Amino acid sequence: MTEQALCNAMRLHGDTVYRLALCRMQNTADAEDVYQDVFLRLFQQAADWDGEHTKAWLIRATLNRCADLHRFRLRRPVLALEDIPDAAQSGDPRGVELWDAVARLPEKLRTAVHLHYAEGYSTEEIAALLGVPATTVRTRLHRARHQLKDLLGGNENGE
Amino acid sequence: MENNYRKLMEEIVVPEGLEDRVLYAARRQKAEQVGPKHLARSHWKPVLRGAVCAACALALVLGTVHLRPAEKSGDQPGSTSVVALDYAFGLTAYAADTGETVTPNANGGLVLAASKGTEFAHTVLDQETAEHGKFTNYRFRVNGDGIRMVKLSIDRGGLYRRGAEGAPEPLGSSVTEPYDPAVSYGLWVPPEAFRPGGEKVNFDGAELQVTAVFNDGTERTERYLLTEEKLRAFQSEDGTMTLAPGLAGDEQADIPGLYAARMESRWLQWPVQDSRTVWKGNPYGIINGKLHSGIDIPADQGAVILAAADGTVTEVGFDRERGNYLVLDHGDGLTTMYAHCRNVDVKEGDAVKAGEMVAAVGSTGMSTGPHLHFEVRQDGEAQNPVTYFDSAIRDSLKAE
Repeated sequence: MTEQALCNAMRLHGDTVYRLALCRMQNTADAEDVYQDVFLRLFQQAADWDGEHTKAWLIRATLNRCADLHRFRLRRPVLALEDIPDAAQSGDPRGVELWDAVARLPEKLRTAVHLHYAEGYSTEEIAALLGVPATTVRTRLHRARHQLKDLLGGNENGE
Repeated sequence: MENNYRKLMEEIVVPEGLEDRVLYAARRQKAEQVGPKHLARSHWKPVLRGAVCAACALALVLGTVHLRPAEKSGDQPGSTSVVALDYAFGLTAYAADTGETVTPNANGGLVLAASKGTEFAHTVLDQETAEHGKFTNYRFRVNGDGIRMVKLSIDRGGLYRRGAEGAPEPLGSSVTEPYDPAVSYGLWVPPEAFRPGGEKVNFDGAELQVTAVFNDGTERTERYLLTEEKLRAFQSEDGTMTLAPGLAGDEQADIPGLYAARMESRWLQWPVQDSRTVWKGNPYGIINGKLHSGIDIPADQGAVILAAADGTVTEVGFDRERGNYLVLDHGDGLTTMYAHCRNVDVKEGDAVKAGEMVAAVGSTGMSTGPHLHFEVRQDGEAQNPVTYFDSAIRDSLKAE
């Protein structure tokens, strides 16, 4: 892959990778490490993919890299929204609450929620990305909604 | 919660500088793979220099076949000439020194990119500049087979030569010398410009003339108008990244640089009356893996669509995607296509003049609102339409 293709990939998919890494790692420094690792790995790829394939590859690579890093950490603290430079300024208390609630979800549920709600992937697409049946993804999303409702005190609609 | 979470995430963006760090690491990785010897000498040094000056050197490839004077009158000179862009990486500019060949746009426009303004005078007056003038980052190279001599001239400032080794040498405002493919030339500001009372040199609007004399004695001249532009990177059909002038209001057009437009290019007229807007949500280029082969010009329902140049109507039709559309052939492989029309006022075989009404803006086919989808093709290959409008038209356009 050329540097220009790399620049282009970062411009198109950089936010996707960073957000997913942040959601999984709950730590900006780790998320930046994952970002760098993932794009350097992409840079090593000789194959010429189209945009969607690249994006799918990046998501898969990001999840793998996050899992690698997680093996070294048994318990991790939840990242406070205020500690993310860009998100801090809005200061919406409901946003803080929501971020916190999602951060407290078990990893499998959190990944499904993030890909579905933040990236707009369908359950079938998520199933293909994660290599699990679509029904499992739907179950995870269902459980996630259920837990979020509890965490958010039931005043959120869940959907 | 769906909306809220998404909104929340959308505020989170990649931290500033991270992209640059990754690029830097990627470059380093690549350099290490090439091997330490190479790294120390010919690769690493330019990288560092590039990091400092964020320069883009440019190679102007004068293709062999196309540069012999066209015996065939129909030959469109330069329409297929290739420009090799020696890209330099800068920590601040969106430019990467890959040593790769980037083709120019099919209309012959070249990009001399740099992160500096084009006006030079009275700025830094160090010993070096006072004595030798300023060697700018705007560099180019003449390439091609069978070239014996090159003649270069510029109507302001001057030029300098830089060989494979050694320091740059000032050449003055014109030069005629034997051809050496390894030599690159750059725009030079004479020391007088930096002395008190000296005249400023501004390359915005300058004219550069390049003549190649071939082994058989024939000559070919290309004239270039240099303009200061905000450039935009786009990916063309074959996947290569190219820079082209951006439009006002397009925040992705963020690479300041010098654009050299071939004066004998084929310039088109703006195809819609009363609309000077290009929709920036769907620009030309490959987006998410799909090529958007033209530009979208929003206009009122029924706005007049004008022929972009003299030509013949080769196709009028309707399909699900394009709605009512027509194709004009302007000769020498150049065609324009107008889609989503409310109605088409010409029929196949009609001859049209530039600026003549051919259709009315509508929203037929796969369209969500009245707009003209305008395409320019050279030999069937979709081109970036923006490069077919001269700087006067480009300056009047807005991306919204």
